[in-house]
Amino acid sequence: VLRDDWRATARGLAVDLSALDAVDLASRLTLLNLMVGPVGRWYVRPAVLLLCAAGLLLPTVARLPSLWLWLTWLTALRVLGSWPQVDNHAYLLSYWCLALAITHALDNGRVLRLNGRLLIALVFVLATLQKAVFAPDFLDGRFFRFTFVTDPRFEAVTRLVGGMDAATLEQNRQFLLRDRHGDRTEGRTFTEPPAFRAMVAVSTWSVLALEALIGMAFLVSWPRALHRARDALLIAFCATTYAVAPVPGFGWLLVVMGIAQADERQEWVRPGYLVAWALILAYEYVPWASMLLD
Amino acid sequence: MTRWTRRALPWVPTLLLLVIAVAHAVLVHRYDLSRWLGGGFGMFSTTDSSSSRHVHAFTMADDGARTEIELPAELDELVRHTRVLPTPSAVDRLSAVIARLPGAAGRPVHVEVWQTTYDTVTMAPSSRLLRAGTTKAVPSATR
Repeated sequence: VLRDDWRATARGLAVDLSALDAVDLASRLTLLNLMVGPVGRWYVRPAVLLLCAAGLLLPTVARLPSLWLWLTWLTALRVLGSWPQVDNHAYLLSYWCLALAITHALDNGRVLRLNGRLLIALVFVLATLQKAVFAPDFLDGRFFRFTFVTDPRFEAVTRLVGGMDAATLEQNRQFLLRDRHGDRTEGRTFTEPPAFRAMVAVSTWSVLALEALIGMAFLVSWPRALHRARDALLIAFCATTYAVAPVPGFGWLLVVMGIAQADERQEWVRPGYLVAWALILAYEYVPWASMLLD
Repeated sequence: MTRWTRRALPWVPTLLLLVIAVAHAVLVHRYDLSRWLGGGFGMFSTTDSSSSRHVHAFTMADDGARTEIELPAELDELVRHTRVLPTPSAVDRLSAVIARLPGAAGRPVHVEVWQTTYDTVTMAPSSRLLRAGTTKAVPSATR
């Protein structure tokens, strides 16, 4: 009886999900994102949370252009108030709220679809250009060699996958961070196990390849197969990257923009994006790498 | 709402992203803005993040000798700002603020912003001076 109940529930959820209007779903999910990952300082956060709560409780409020204009202004204020020290997805959130405001003002779902697709495309094209063309130390692996060792958020992964024991990790960390006017590193070396080198190489090239493919897939509709695979690529990116990258707000935003532009005829796409959303939430709260390490 | 407005409005968020990305490129090129910040989507692309930069302040004695002064916690925000976007005016502003601190003892203050880079093979760190500036002595500060 329980199994039948579960099946009926799952079928009902899938039907409900596919019946939802893309703009409504994207609007609600954006509000939910802002509730689970509140943004801004004291002069922004309470107002953002109140507006989001109102929008989630009252569906008609979530369709008001003025709600989205206020959220655009507040998220822009967050960027301006901490400029230039805010993360890139703070800018993206503001552009997205503006896109939602314009969509609701024009009452045209195609506007959100266009913006979802173009914003994702440009984010990934720019990220690819920064890594492959402009940054001096990404392609040669220095970025990940440095980050995996010095960023404590990657420690568990570095030990688990990179095979670097705690003592070597600490020694390497001290080696990299000792350069502070006068501290010298003579007599010390940066020690890398083969698994760590492999992890750096795989991370460098897979991140670059995946980001370039996603940028292309969303920007142009040729090759057709790549364009049709864009949702699968973005879902795969979100489901894997945010397992280690500590910026869930960025991941959730990409998921919402992905849903907004997705082809509704592909039934698996919406559930796929929502699974990615849930995974990012789980990554944020479940210390999976540390648990595996233990 | 005119027809032209209805046609133009949908493109505004995308155009905004592009304009800010171009501004980011200009600030990186001219004023060494960290690629991680500024809306250019250069996060996770380089070791040159805020934490790889360091700011030092020195008081200058009459004979030219320099003494490093510890930066107080209340200047953290200003120091962080100067570290990630070391424009000449930001460095001047920071050195002027430090010159008014009792620790500067009325002497000229010299501020330097450094970036740590890493050797391609050995990963040995070394520093590169991004920007420096000196503020003259502040008469009101006590020596």
